Amino acid sequence: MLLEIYPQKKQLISITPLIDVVFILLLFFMLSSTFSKMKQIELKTASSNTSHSVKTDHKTIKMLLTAEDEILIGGIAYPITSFELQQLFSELVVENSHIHLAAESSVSIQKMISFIDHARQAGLQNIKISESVSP
Amino acid sequence: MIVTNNNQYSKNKLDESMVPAINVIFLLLIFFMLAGHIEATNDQLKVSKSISHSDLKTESNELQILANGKIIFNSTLVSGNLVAALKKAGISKDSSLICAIHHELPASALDPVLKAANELGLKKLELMTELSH
Repeated sequence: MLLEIYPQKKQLISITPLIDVVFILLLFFMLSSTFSKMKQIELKTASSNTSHSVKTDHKTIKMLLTAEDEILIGGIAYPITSFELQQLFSELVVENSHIHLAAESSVSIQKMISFIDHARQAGLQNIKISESVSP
Repeated sequence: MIVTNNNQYSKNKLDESMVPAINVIFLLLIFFMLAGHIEATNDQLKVSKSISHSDLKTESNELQILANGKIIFNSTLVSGNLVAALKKAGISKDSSLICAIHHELPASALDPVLKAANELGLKKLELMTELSH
């Protein structure tokens, strides 16, 4: 008697657990990944000119960043976003002036860095930072 | 008469319709794996945002000032004199020092670092920032 032999059906590997693992990995990477890029700002300190005795041809402008979002330059207060300050910055860039920046002690670090960004965008590169001043 | 197994047919159809979804999941996974980076976050230290594009010097000495005022130098808490701690670590006038300071702290929080920098004769100081878009 001839028996009909059916070929054994090939057992496929189930991909469902693999997809589960991929989902878990995706969740992990989505929740733990950060896309922030760390950068830096280079600032000169007050001691940066003590070692130089060479006569320089630039002038140094003292600026005080106040808690009221103003900049005091030579006794005159300029709002940070004012047009007059922009004009002054342009003049200082032409004169190759150096900035000596101090902030009132209550001004936040973020505000100080934003102001430095503002000044650098205007073209002022030589910014020296000094200790905070009590209002 | 041909009898078809409707259940098997619909199951296969469902499996096939899931393939594009699984492809998208794989692509998302690859994106997050390659584009993102995993780092330890500290609520006590969120640096200021800036438009500066200068790359961070990773080989420099790192000084952290946390929101609670604690100062950490190269992963070690500085409890005493900052100048002494920096001198002990071999910081000299030509050394590079990166300062990561919590963005909400007042400017006066930076004073001890500036004083120390002046005492040590450091000519420049790098402030760590986060690129703002």
